Amino acid sequence: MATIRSRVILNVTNEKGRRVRRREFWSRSFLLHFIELLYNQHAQLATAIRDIGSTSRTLTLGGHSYHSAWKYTRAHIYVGAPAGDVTTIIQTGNSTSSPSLPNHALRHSWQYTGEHYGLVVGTGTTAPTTTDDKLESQIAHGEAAGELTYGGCEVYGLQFGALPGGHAGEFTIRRYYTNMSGGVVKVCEAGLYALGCAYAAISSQGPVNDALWRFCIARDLTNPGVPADGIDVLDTEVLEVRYVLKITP
Amino acid sequence: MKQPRLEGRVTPTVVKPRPIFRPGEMGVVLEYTVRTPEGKVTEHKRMKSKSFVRAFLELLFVQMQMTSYNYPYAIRNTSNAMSNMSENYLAFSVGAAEGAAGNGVVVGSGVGAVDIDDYKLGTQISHGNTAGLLWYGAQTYGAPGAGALLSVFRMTRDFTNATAIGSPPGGNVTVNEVGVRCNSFDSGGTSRNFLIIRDVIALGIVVPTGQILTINYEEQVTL
Repeated sequence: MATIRSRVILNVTNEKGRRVRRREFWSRSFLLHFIELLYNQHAQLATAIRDIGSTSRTLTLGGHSYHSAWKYTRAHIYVGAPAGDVTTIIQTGNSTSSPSLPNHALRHSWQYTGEHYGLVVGTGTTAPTTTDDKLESQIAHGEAAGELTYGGCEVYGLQFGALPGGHAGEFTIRRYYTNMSGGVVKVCEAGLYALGCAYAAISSQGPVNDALWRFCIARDLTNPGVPADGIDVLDTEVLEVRYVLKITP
Repeated sequence: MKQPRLEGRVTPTVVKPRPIFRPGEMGVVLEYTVRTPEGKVTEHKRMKSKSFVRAFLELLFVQMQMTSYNYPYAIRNTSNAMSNMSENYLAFSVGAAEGAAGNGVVVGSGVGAVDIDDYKLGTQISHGNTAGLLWYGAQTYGAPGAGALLSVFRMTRDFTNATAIGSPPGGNVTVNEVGVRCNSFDSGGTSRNFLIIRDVIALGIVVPTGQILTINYEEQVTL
């Protein structure tokens, strides 16, 4: 039975690098929007998906890809992200419907800073539902009270073989969060915000005025049994959150 | 015999109220139906699929990482060659027109057990209307839907044991394996095919002359 499950691992380490808290459990909550993004890629058909602002965005495909002379991308299901406040610029198409391509001057780009997508954490305690559009209350990037500084979101470690637990393959999505707020931050929820591309129009030479939107594809409580009892991150401590996607033969 | 005429289409996916996978699990349900040309069902079964093979996880990794075309990841394609893959819009595309047996849901006669490293069906049955072949319909879809505990979409394809006009009946065709092939651009911009799902059917599915085999694959995630 080959299915895919995700192990969620939370580790908190102190200033000395010693692990002081740990929690590990199976993710229970890949959401409708994950299935919609996969459907969009499988069927290559326009797909309306609610973004994290609960606004319906019609994801479309077609056009060109990054390997082509046009060098733009749909970035669907993209969760790798830079650190908080660090901008990633993704070229998603062109800004005019009749460009002489390839023409970098006409390139349309979209940008986010790292904390806005990838692996995210929050303080919400309500149980996930299949149609959740976002975390209930995402913790902001920063050093003020109640905030955490977001590291980069890595996607790494794809491997196959006889892995522990009887799994046949896995890869990991990981992010570090540092508490520089001066107080305790309680993390009660975690999830994945993936990017997807919707463009305003399609010209004979490709999509036009594309925009990248964020879609919540997974949401988990960090303590499903006692939702309000999340995992504490004390001042100066570092929280590591991992989603390990495992395929079981 | 009149050839089947199948149009690509999208219909809503019926979301079953009770998931069959564990909470948090992503899996595939395989459902097959054999019908006479008049629509009478002669065989039907719904089961958990053995489902995903290696390339599914690899392509998901490439998309989630947005692997650069300058630093691609090599994935074995259905021709048993390694393809350098990077993020692209075509990844996971299973679209297939009528008669296009290189992509989408495919069927075969191989009986070898499913292995995570499978990169193709054991022996794929070709498209055609002569003995031993099946007529591949167009790939169709069920749009995504969600219930309280389940999110799902469906991929469907019909396979007809057709006989060319003026030819003698070709006899039964037995389908022992089912799978899904997708295509995706490699980092050089060439379209490549990958097997992402494979199932072996115990005892096989017998498709008599003139009858139609419908394969439904439902990709599901369970809350």
